Amino acid sequence: MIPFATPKLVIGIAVTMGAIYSADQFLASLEHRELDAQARHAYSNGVSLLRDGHNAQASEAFRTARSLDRDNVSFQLALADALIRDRQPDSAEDALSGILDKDSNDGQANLMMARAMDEQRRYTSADSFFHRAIYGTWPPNTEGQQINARIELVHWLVARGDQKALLSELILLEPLAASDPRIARELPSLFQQAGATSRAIDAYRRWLQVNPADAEAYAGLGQSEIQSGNFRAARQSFDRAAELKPDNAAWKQSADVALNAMEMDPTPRWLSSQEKLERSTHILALASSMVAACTAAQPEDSQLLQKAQQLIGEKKPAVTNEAAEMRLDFAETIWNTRPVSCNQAPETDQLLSVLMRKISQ
Amino acid sequence: MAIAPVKKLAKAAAVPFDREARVSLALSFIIGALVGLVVVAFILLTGRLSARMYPVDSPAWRRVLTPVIGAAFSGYLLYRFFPDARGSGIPQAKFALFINDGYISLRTVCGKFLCCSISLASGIALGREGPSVQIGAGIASDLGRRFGLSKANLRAVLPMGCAAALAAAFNTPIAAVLFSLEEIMGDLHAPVLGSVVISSATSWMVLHLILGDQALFHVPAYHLVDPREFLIYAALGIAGGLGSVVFVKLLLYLRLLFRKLPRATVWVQPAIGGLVVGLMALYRPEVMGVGYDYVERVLGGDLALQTVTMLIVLKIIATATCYSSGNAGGIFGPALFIGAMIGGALGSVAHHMFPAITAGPGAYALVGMGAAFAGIIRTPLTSVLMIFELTRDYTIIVPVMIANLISFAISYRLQRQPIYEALAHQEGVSLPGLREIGEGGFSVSDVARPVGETDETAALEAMRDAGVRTWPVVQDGHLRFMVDAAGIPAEAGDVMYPDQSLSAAIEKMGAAKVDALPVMSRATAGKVIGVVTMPDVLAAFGVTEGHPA
Repeated sequence: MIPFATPKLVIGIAVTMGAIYSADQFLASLEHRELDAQARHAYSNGVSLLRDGHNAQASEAFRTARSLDRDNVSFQLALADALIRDRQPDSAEDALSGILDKDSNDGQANLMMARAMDEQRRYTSADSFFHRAIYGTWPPNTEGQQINARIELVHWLVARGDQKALLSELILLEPLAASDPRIARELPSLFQQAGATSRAIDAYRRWLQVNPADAEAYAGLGQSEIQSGNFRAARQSFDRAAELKPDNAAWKQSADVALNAMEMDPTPRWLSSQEKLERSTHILALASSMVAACTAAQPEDSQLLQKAQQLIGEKKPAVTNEAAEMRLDFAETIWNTRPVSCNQAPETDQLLSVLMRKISQ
Repeated sequence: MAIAPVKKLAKAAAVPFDREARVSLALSFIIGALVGLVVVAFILLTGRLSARMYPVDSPAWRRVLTPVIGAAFSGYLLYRFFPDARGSGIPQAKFALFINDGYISLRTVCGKFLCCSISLASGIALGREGPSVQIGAGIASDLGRRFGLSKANLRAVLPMGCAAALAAAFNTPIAAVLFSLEEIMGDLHAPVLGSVVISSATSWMVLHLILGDQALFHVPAYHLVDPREFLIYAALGIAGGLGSVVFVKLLLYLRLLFRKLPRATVWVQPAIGGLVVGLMALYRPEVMGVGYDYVERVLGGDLALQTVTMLIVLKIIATATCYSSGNAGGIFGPALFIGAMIGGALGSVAHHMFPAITAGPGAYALVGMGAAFAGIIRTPLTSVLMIFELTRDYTIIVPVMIANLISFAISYRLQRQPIYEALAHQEGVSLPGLREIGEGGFSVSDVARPVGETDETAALEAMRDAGVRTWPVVQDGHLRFMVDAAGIPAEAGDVMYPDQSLSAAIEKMGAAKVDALPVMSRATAGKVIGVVTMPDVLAAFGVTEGHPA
């Protein structure tokens, strides 16, 4: 007992403290409720602004929401998202750093940070944050978000043209295709973009077994077949696609290209030497006329073209495989020296491209 | 044996002291808790009220009328019922500590709470921390009296209340302790340190219990980008110092102008401050109230240069007018606001010109806060710690220290008298500065000889009695001049105050080459209450006529 204090004084102080504590709790809960309501209002306002494409105003609204409720990670993520869309990756990085300082494994924050890094052209960091997002922790009932993160990484790698890393990610994604139609549909074209043509063809075929009416998939398969040099199968695929969607002229044109390529293909083993020579000469003639038509052709090309004309115009060439090979080599050389800007006849160009690829294989 | 009765006497004398020491210790907890609760209520109440009185999207007429009506109402209350609740609260707390033996009435506490709640909620551009300090000191004073403490111990509990209030108001327990010692007590080695720490920590715990663990400002992690940045931070120190001087001089000048107005207008003067803020708010609503939301935004680098620059000017004028017109409210918050805006503006320019070697404007706003606080309040140590505690960001502390020091030096050079001291002088009160007070040893009041009305003849007689060569001539209680042993008058130079230490008296007498100095009242400017002489000072230390006693 404090010597100077009377019981009345002690009770008085205790009652006063209790009363003020109750008042404080009431005021604090009132403030909490009001700030919470204001924050949610600002957040929903920001969401609708973002939906309408008003990124700057949306980021202001999210900033207000965040300042009213600093513990709400959703507000911070929304702010970062709006800032990235508003081309303010530096500010987004600051906003996300706060979340990642507290939880470096936060999947959503890492994904946003990857986007911010990409905007800042810090690609190595972006790649790292994508992977942290994929292997990070996500809120309950959002398992699909991890897969989405990997798909976003895949598209990012496509845009970056990093085929090796892309193929690695697609191989990890492939097992999920069986249970996720979205992945199964997208996977074949992604394999194709990764340069894995045979994987692309397999993936297309698996998809078409389940979805035989998908015209786009048949067209994609046709493209992959062309890339692999299987012109007959390509033509069948394009024909099937055109059958399912007759109004698509591009597919019909691709089917024609496949047919022409099939007819001009000098590589089948069953071709006689005569036929092989004829096809080779035809390819050389096409390549020569293609390059000759280019106004931007260089003087040194004219010597090549003259020599090509001599070969094409030979009255009685030796009907041997060597003669055919020589013409094909010459056609390849001429084709490779054509100016990049030369784009005279798209169909012929496309035809020669697929043939040259097949020849080089 | 003569020793036994002496021991008995000493033991008897020690009993009340021990009891009071125990009471003081218990009170440090009670004061901390009670002040914490009251200050939290004050913060929540003013925050909620201001959100209703002038919402962000309120119409223009409301932004003008709210501060005018609020200031007029609180002005009337201050004039009619609570005259001691006017102003910041820091000088008032110091006045109570050094002049009124630690007395602050409960009426003043209630008045401060009520009037500040009204004026701050209506958008008056002042802060809540200074008033909290006076409320805290007042609660401590009232509790001390109710617990029957002696005058000396009552004075000792006031810093506990101040520290508890500041710890809860700013969420800065360490800076609150330092502020109590550095600014309120004027002595960093004060023996009440332990109790002040306890009350500050208790108050801080109460704050956390109710409001949770949130720093006052949330700041992105800033760091020094390049060593050359120190030059820009130094420039910020100069800008902060100059800004502080402009603010302090304007405030003191306006306060003098308002004091010259007829006494009958005192109750309506606060409304002038309200009108100025209201008119500014038509153009820039950010100038209303404490403005911590905008401080946070500039700390995040989210305010445009034009806005920030405009707010520096507007806030300086608004706060100076509000304070000098007699509104209840402090200048801590505005000092931080002005500093943040100065830093934000300079940081924006620097980052625009040298993006590769500078941090964003937010980092400069953070350092600017400290620089302006050090320049205006003149507590450089408190300022550094406060910025650290407010933001919990240690990485920027070295630039803060550099800018603070430069700002403090410039402010000291261009405005020698600190703002609270100057305001007290305007009120006719002389407050002690750092290291002036004789805590723990003899003070001037222990050896001063009382003097009444003294003409030249009486002065010569008193001089002979005291064995000194100079004496004050006092007329109507006020010091006229000094005379020497030959009866030749001289200008009164240095003076002493009753609470100053004897060593300070020796220093001053030595410097002035005199052996007596007049002792002046701190409460009434120019009033002589005694004379301190060199023989009396030496005798107090046990030395007489050049020999140890």
